Amino acid sequence: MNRVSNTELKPLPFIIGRSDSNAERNKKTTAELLKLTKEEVERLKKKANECENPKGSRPYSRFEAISAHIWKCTSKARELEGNQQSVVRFNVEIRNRIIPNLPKNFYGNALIQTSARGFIGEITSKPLSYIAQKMREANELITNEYIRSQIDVIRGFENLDDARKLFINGGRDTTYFGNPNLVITSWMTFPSDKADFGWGKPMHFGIGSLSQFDRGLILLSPDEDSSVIVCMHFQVELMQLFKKFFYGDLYELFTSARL
Amino acid sequence: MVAIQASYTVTPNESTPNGHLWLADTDQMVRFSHHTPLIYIYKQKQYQKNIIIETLKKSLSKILVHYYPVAGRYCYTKGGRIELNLNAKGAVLVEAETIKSIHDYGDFAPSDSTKELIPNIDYNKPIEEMPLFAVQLTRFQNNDESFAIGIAYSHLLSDGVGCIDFINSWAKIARGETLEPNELPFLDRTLLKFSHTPIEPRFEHRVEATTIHYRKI
Repeated sequence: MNRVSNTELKPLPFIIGRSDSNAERNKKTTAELLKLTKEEVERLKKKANECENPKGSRPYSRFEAISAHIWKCTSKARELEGNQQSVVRFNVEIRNRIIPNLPKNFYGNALIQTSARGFIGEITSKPLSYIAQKMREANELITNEYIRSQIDVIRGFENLDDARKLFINGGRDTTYFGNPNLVITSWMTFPSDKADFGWGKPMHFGIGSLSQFDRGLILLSPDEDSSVIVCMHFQVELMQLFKKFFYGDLYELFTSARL
Repeated sequence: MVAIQASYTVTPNESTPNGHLWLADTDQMVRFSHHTPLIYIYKQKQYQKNIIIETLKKSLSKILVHYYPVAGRYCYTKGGRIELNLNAKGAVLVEAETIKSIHDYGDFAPSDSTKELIPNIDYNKPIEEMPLFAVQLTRFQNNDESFAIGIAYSHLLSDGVGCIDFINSWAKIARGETLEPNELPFLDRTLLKFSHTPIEPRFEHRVEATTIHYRKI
């Protein structure tokens, strides 16, 4: 088997001119629940599919559109240089990707990490479809061969602590996944409304403590109206600006979208 | 401020397989010194703490028969690798009360406040003593109807899909229903056990300031 280049395990870029992430890591993070109505989600999807979607390929998904929007807004809020590299890390579920497939009820971590990479200049200026395509490519990278290669790389480490540093879920104590980078997690497929112990469905489901790095966690709203909640973890000093773009760009979408 | 009123250890209510469960390489890439913190908020017309606690306790001891790894403990093997000791030491169920009202938490965006609703796990203890799953029932002040179920779930047990399946199956049992055969978890992780393919020359991989040297095969 050919070894696939495991780009998702390459070191994360620092802010240009710096040799580590310490200054960013020491900044305080906060979290806010940002709601996207069903209509807003549809608008984002429409915008992501306006152009540049290679002919014949399926339309960009809700996840691709929302995560592209989050990446764009973080990039704008950070006010970094155009030639600054930015990496979005996310996990891909592999029950249906590995060959043979894992059983649906496979209990364990059927996750492989992937990364989308871009420059702040392109992420802030190109259309949403361009960023959605980057998310798609990072996602589609995770093939059977790739999964086996990543697992093989892990198995090659003498001490697994060295390997853990490379992963979102393993390296938070040693690696900073925030500015100029970002982690995106989707819990949109989680049927959290089924957690009825006999006293009804939960009126709220969410994460209970703060991530110490920039992270967009995408959940379905408990309102069951197909609206989405982005639980956004971002540096305190940049959160207001992020929100301005998160909803401001949506407004622009409304005025520019061809109805 | 949250005051802990009682803490119980819940074990499977039938005997479960013992021995050690092999954890996949994808499991190993999750730090053990962190439990995924989840919050569920419920409203019930008449809050009856004893009934809720008893329901949770009884159904948890039943679901742990099917999901017996959740009741186990971790142990190290070699090279920093972790395995699961299927010793049925149990999960933790905590009963708590807060002096805050539900409104003090706003929309429950994660913060130091919401963290109080999640069971606290002591990572200073030896790994062999650390529970992999803990639940905290917290009643809010000035509100007889709402309460929180906070969860601390070790990510090495499974990804989110597996975690939510576990919680939903637990809820199903709590409702007095039984699990269908296709709802039972598939526990054997060796489906992800591949032999290491040595390829020469091994490459070096730069990680921040450290160079990782791969094992020579």
